[in-house]
Amino acid sequence: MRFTNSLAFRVLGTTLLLSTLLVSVLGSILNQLLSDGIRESKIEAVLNESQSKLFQTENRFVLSEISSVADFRDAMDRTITEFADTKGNERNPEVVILQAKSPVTRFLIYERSTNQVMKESIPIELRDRVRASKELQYSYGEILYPTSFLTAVPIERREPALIVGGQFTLANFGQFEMFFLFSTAPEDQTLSLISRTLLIGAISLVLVLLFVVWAVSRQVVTPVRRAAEIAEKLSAGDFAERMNVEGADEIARLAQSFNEMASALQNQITRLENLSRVQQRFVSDVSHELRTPLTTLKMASDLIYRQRQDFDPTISRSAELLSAQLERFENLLTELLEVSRFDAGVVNLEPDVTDIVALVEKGVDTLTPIAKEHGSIFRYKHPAEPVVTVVDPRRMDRILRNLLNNAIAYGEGKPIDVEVRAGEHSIAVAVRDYGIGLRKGEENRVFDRFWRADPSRERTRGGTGLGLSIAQEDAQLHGGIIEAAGVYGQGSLFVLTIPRDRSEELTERLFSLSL
Amino acid sequence: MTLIMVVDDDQDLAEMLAIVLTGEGMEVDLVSRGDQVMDVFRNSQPDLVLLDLMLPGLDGIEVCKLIRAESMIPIVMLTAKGDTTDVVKGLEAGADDYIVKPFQTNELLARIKARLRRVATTSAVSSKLEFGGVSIDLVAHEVRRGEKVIALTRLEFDLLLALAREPGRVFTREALLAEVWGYRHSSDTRLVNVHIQRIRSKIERDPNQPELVLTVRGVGYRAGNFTEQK
Repeated sequence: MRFTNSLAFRVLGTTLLLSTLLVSVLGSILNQLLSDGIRESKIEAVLNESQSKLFQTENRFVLSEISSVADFRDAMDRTITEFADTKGNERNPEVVILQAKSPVTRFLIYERSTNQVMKESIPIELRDRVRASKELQYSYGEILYPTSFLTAVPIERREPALIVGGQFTLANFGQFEMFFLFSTAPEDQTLSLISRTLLIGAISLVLVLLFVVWAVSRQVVTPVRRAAEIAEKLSAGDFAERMNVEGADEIARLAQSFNEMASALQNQITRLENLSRVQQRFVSDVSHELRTPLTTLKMASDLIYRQRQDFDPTISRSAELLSAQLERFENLLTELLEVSRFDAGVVNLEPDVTDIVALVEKGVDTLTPIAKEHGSIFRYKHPAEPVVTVVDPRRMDRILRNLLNNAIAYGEGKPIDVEVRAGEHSIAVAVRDYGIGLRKGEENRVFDRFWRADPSRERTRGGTGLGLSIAQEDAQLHGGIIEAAGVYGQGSLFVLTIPRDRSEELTERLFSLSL
Repeated sequence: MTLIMVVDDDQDLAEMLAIVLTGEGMEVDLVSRGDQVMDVFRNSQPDLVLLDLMLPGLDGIEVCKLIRAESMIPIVMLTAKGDTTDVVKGLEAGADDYIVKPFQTNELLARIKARLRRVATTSAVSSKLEFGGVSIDLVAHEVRRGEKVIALTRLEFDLLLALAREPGRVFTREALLAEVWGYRHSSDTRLVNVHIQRIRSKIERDPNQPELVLTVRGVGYRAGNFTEQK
């Protein structure tokens, strides 16, 4: 099953995305708050400590009687050694004492640090600030230790630190800057422990959420999936399947409504099937019941008709009328039955490989005598090659005869053009007469059942009034269409277009409908 | 005299048919129930049966099968339904031809006469055609495979003969309808299809892989594996 096809997977995906987003935002905020708090408290403690150490040192220098450079150096060494001695306590800082400027000579500059901490540890920017201010200044940096004086590489070990600096003045010896470098390694360790814990917590939270969502969605998705399966079976015509109704929750309600829907569908379809069967039976019965007496009538009428010379003129003429009207009645019956079959949806195509050019030719040949009686001739134009396709030849023939008969009936004795064209996706047959034609708006109405352009006149032309309507239905059965165009007094054009592949939509038109 | 058996439950139509057929110089037996057909049939030995499909007592299609079990005489169905299934069922049950009610008297007579007419065999070059292990005796109107006589209806015989006589020729269904059934206008080509199937089931070794009567797709049929005997 593809990712996008499964509801459960989609829900899981969304959950994963949203929960990850939420947890990471919350986690980083929490992380930030915690580390800020820890650092602030550290800074406060560190500043206090630095302040007191600075005073201590300053006082020591002031109190000790320094009269020579040697004294001064000695005092410096002692101070640093003291600081270095108190080491061992993690909270005690490394100390760097720098001399900003000497009033005497630069050779008097005497800078010391505990544990050989390099003076490069002190950021220039911090020194600038310390020099500019009376207050203590601080900054984050690193304590740089040289590995050994013997190695060429000067810096080996670094330790993150909070560096606090302040200044004091020594008469005759100038300005000093004193820096306390508090290692922040323990705090950093705590902070990284916190963020690790937060990360692990976040990941487990997301996993737990995913599991919960998966479990919940299974509970929902399983019945939905079941419903989909049953719906597929329903649409395939299997109405026996039903969903299980358990409990009284929404899923149970879904199942229940689903089952009700299936039952309703089943009933409706059974009802329609019955209706259709009844209709079919009716058509079949009417067909049989009417056709048998009609046969007797026709045979009797034929018998009388053939002997009409033996009777006096009125009876003779009556025999002719009887015979003609019986034929008309028969045509009407046949077409009515066909129409009712279309309405009942019980028509079947009997497709066969057919050459349309030959089929049209046959129709034209068959109807040529009738056309001649009306004074018309057919002018048939077609491709040199056979146009072979799969159609129901009987229906196709009926469509053509309908169009040709129509053209004869309304062609007023003028020639009738018939043309077959074959396109890439479709095949078309056009029948063009130059007779009465159609008034505006009649192009579509000609396909209506029993529609006649001029009721008073046209009835004399015979025909059932169903021919074109049946032809249109036959065309649609092939996935095609018959379109009409006409100019009153100048004739009309009927074009049958069918797709080469019955299952495909008809998009191509091979004839223009403008006259 | 030619005896026609008319099986139809509609008394008036039966009487009218009798009037018309008698007028043509034929004798007529009228039967109105399906279950009475076989008794009358065995008694009177008609030359042709006109058979309505909807009958009381016994269905027309069943009657058709019963007659075929005993006789190869022509059967023409009278059908009030043009519905495909009924026509095909009737043809498969052994009917030679069908005519749909309401029909023209002329049309009916033409159908009956076409079925009664024997195919002219005198013009044939030889009196016997050998046909892939099947021999057609044009004089005795018999078809044999080896020594075994294969029972073909007259129509089936005529259809087979039409194909076998011109072995190279491909016959369209329309041509066969004209030649064998005597239709001047092309009619229902299913007639040809159904009877070809019936012939195959009788003469072919394997009807599903015909060797004697071959289909030419999109055109029609032709005879296969043909040799002529002096």
